[in-house]
Amino acid sequence: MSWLHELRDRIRASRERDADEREMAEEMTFHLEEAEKTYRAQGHEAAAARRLARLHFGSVDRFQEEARSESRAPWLEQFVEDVRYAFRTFSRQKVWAFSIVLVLALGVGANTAVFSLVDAVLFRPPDAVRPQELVRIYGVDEEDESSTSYPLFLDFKRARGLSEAAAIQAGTPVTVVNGSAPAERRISTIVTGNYFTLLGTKPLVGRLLSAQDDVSKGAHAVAVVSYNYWREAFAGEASAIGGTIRVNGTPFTIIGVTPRGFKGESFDHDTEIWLPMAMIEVAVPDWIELEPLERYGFSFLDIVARLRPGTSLEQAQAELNSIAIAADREASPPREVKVLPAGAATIGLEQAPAATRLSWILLGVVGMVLLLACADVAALLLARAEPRSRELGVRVALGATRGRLIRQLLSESLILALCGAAGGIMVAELLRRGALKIAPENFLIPMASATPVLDARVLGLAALTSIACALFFGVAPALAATRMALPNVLRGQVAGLRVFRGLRFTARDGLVVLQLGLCLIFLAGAALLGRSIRHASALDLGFDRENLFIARFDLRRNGYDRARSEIFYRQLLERLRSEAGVSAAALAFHPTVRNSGLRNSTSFEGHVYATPEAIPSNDLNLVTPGYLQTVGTRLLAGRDFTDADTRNGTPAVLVSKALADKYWAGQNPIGKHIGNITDPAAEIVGVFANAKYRTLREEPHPLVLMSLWQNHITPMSVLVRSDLEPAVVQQLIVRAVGGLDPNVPVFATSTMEESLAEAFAQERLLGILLAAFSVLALTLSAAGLFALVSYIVKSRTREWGIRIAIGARPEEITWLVQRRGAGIAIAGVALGLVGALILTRYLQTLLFGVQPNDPISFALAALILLGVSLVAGYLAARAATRTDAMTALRTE
Amino acid sequence: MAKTRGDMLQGTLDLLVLKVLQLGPMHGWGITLLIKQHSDDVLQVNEGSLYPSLYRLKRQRLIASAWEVTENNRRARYYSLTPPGRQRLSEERAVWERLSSAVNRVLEVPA
Repeated sequence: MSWLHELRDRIRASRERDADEREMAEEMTFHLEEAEKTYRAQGHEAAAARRLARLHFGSVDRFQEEARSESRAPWLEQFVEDVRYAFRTFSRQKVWAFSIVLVLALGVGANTAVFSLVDAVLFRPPDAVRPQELVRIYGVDEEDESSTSYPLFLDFKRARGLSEAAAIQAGTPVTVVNGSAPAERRISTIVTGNYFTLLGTKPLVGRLLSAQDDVSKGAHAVAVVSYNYWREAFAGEASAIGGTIRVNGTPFTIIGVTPRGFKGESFDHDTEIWLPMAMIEVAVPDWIELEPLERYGFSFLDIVARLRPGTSLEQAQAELNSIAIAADREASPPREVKVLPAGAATIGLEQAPAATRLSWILLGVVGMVLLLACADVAALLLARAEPRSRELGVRVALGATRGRLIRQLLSESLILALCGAAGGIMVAELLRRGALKIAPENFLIPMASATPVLDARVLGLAALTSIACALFFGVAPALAATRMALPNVLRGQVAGLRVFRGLRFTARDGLVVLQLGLCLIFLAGAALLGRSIRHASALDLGFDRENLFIARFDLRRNGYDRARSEIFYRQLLERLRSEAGVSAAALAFHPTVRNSGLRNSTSFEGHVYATPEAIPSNDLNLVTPGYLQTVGTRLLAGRDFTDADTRNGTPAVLVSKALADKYWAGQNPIGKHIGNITDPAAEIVGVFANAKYRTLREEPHPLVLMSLWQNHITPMSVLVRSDLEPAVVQQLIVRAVGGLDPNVPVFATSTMEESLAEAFAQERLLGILLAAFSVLALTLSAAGLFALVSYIVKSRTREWGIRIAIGARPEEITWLVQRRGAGIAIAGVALGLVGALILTRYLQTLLFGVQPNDPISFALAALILLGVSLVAGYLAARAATRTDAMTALRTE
Repeated sequence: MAKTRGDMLQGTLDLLVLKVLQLGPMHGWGITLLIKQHSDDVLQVNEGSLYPSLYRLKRQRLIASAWEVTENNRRARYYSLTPPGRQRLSEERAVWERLSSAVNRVLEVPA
């Protein structure tokens, strides 16, 4: 093949480059000597003959350049040459090159870091063979909960459209005792026996669960452990297989270890132990006691399934919906069944979109950062294009073709891009570590499942964005620089968009306007979130958030029954209340404002319900006497629970003012009765002030408090009011619990303030992020504006000189320049306001107490940006007034 | 600009070089002389164009080169036609003749 020959020749040619150069020189010398001889023969003097020969031959450089371009491998040889040339250029323009690399690194780094975090939520395929066949099945019920019951799962399993289906109860905390080590809280996932076979997971050591491990209830005490847990608890010893651990008091045999980093179909749980479904009673005894597994209405399972080849999502969904309808109607079958690809399972689903939405918002934000970085890089490249055109002109005169020069400029961009990508990867790693530090434990986007930065996909993305960015924004300046006529355009003398009264926008102006606009969007977003957080921290919660301490523990997982639990609880409270510095202590099931809560169907005296389904669902909490006093919620009427409200007494409840107003407006609620599906009617003994229960955003709403002495539930939170140091209180609680039973682990200890901050974690994180980007954007765009105004000043130095010479005062000159800078700043602010109006809508769900188009936030952002722009413009313009008339007139 | 002129000359110069080399191997200087002589001093070949042309033709394997000794005992690079070069010459020549006769016919149209 001829191109192969050519390739070989070219490679040989480049290898023989030096020999070639020598031969070329020799050939040229021969030619010149012959020509000289001829001229002498024609009667010219020796010197004149030589001069004539040279003259006729033309430029030696040009000859060599052209000859070279004809005889050598362009892409290989020239690339090496370009790279060398580029580095020479950069070393002469260190600040310029470094700025480009830095800006690229920041833009690419932010994108890479965020991509690595949201990858698990948005893009990463599930950890399984043939992941494209995997689907997740959601039964969406009236409450928008998305789980499926066990009997319905068994029905689904028989669907023709599914080749296999497994049920999962993910992320269940269990108490594990390993030998003589103290009890620990570990995360378990309960799966049907076919789970690992369905995913196609191979064990790292031992074997994984199989269908034989999930046949009869309670008979398969076997467990699979994660790689990390195996390393941590068993030092990665193979002898761990066959060993025994106690899970919630029941001994389990470890049969195998999952591969390192195995996540299965889910991204949001860091499972350490997998247990077979047959043993669910051990893992979640409290649930199973409340409702039998066989009940259709008891929805708590996630389903992962494999579609039969040839079945579409829609077909499977239709079939499963008809199965759900045909299933037992006795207790609320799902309103709708959804079948979604397992990889992007959360996209578009009502109940799980918080993580998805936040992920998209983060991607959007860093996308804008990248755009800003690109605008900045483009401005920097353009700024170089003009002085560059002189240098390039010389090279063209020496015979370099335009294509050759463009190629060289693009190689420069490419080198900058690669340096930017390398820097970006470092920035990404730093940002990731920073994010891990500031993100709370149960943050929406699971930090632990983030894709590492040194992953092929993440690295590829970094390189791609960087190269695309540099090439895209490098091509225009390259074309511009190589076209001789273009400097005029760049200088802003020719074209440009006429905006209004003598204000013309050039490409460089446009880039600065774009940067300012993006900057304003960041500022507005940060201001909105900042104001939200301020609102939230000043909010009246209905309880006193200060000096309140929370810790959780779970007696059920240590095998306590109801009677023993009650004794434990009473002793614990006694101990805590007797401590010096503790002013109050109480227990509650739900420690308030955790973005979740307990609900139950509740009927109200005097209200008639046509069907059982018509009974409204109502928020509910189980507390001990003294709870209201401990959290600082006011009792408005009636009495608090007492230790006499026990199982033997009449069931007593406390209700919120909102509940009393809703169901018995104008009547005395004390003495009224409410009922629910598990208890006989309970009597209202007191009314308390409205307090936040699930979220900070909720309106005052009906809430029922039931006495813990009359109902049983686990796990339990202990609340302690004390003005001691948090660490001291924590020690106090751990000692008190440990003193009663050293095998009961205390977990999730925090102050109420920390717990509330956690409830507002995504808002806070996004706010910090936007504030950081605002500062970055402000710096970049102020620098951009400064450079632009300086450039205007410089290019019109002569004019200033003349003006000063004919008597203009320095202030007038400053004003002339300032006016232009201000025009650009105003255009940027205007663009940014429009952009912010469009984009802040997406923050709506994160805002608190402010509207997305909050005028105060917008005004604040605009003021900051205008202020900084004017200062940047002023500093640059001041240079103009320093112009000495004579120097100015002498330039050019 | 220079590029357009160069483009037009390039093809023609290549043809002339191939034709001259049909007469026998020759070095660069000799080629300029031959073209000048045979064109009765009308065509002055610019060396700055000649050598690129020679290297290009060589790379296309239409001509070959070898270092030899001149009549005056000087080392010089001699270029010679290769079989593909011979082939190309006859093709280019036909194209040229068609073109120039066409141009001539147009020019000879009586006014």
